[in-house]
Amino acid sequence: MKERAVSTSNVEERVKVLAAVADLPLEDHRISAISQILGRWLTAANVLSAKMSAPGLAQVTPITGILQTVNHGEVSHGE
Amino acid sequence: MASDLTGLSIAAAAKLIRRGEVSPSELLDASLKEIERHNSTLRAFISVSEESARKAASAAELMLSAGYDLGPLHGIPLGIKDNIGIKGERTTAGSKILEDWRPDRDATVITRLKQAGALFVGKTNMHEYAWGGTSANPHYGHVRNPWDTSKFPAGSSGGSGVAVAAGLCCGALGTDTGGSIRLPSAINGVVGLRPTYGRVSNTGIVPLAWTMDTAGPMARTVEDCALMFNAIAGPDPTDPATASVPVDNYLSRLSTGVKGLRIGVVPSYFFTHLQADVKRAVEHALKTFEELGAHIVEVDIKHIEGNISAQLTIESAEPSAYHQRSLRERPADFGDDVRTLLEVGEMLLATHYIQAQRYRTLLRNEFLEAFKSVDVFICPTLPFTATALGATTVVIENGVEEDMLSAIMQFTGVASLTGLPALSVPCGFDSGGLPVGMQIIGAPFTESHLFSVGHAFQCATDFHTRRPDLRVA
Repeated sequence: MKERAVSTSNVEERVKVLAAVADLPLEDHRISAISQILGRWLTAANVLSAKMSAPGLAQVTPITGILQTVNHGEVSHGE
Repeated sequence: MASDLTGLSIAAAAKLIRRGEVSPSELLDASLKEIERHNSTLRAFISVSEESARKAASAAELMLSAGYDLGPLHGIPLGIKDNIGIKGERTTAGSKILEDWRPDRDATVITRLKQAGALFVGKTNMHEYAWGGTSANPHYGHVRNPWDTSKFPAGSSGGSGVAVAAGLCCGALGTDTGGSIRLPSAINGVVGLRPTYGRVSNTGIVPLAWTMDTAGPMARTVEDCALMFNAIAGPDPTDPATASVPVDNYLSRLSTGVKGLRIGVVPSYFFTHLQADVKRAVEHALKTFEELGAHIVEVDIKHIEGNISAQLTIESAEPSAYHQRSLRERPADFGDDVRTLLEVGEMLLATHYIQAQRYRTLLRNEFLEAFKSVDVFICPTLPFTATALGATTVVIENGVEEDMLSAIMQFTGVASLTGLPALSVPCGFDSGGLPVGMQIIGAPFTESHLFSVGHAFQCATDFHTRRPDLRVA
């Protein structure tokens, strides 16, 4: 996957579509504010998705909340 | 007298109470006077709980006179971030939607602080629903920085940071998802701990992002944070995300020192793209640690780039799920910025969210590997000092304006994503006299170790002893 910036007009169209898909009522004046942020975040999220799609990372599983399974215990420095 | 008492650390106040030289009611009076004097300017508190706090102070005195001493928090006035529920007390989470909510039970952290004898002087102001880093609150007023009231206090636990820095209370509780304890701690010149994820119960706290939310102490000294943490840390059967790992006595290692300590630094990420004064202060702190016998070890974290995107994706998708109903039924009751972020969170794809969660595993594994060769990491808490109140952008270098939200979590996102504990400690001031903070990041469940490192620094420096001049606030 190549990194591609998402253009503002494209994002505004996507915002309208995604709002409809999510059943989220959205007045027209909201679209610009959402698009300004979403455009940047989608670009970065797509870069991250590309990184995580690398074959070398295929075995990496998601963290979904319970992180406390690894206890490295006490650190022994200075004793 | 009021200022003298509210300037005390928790440890110092506790000693005076034990010796009978000051009573919990006198300490509370001092706190209430300072709140009355400064809160209209600083807007650190949304609600002040004078009546219930006075009752609790009287009860604390009765217990002491009868020989029941609950420990170092007995009779100490604390501020509580307003997303943490106290039974019967107004708990707004900084929102209009919850403006009249009075929980019917205490959050677990409140139950534990009550068992330790603490008093709650009021509920501190915050970024609405904790979803933002400025504490610019459209419903309860923008929290102001006591060091310069034209500046922001960071957030989202801005009220807690300001209340502690300004001496309105002895300590406070905050919550930290993407940096919300550490950021206002650094910007206001106090100490704050983001615990290991799962070390402190979130039951009874209005969530932001379930998989990253934590609650922790904010105080003027590392020792005070350890005292508070002793009370709140530990498993909770009502919060399945809490860990069954045994708790420490978090004071037991406080004076261990740092001789032989291996401090990891990641120059390619944590020491690039930050204001010169911040870099200078943290580098000077590292020299101080070296003089105390620690060693600096340069470490490469291969996949550290990408953490901001992962954080923003998770931290927007999860609150958007939590607030989904309110966003449809009462959208106009959200502040503009939070409403926009919640709307954005509905428009990221499930694959973006899952890839971000997979990235967390990758980043966490790299840090756990690195902890085989270092004991802690040290880095700036954030790349800039306090910026203008209400600003939505910030200039870090070369005059370029950057989006505040992405910029402010540049260095705090790592601990949030990995679940590692991180302690923010004051480490200097910029040329304008505004505080700079550094993060000490540790391996999972090594909070007592972080306290020992932070305490060693505070024994060697005096940054934490300097207070804002409230005559001009």
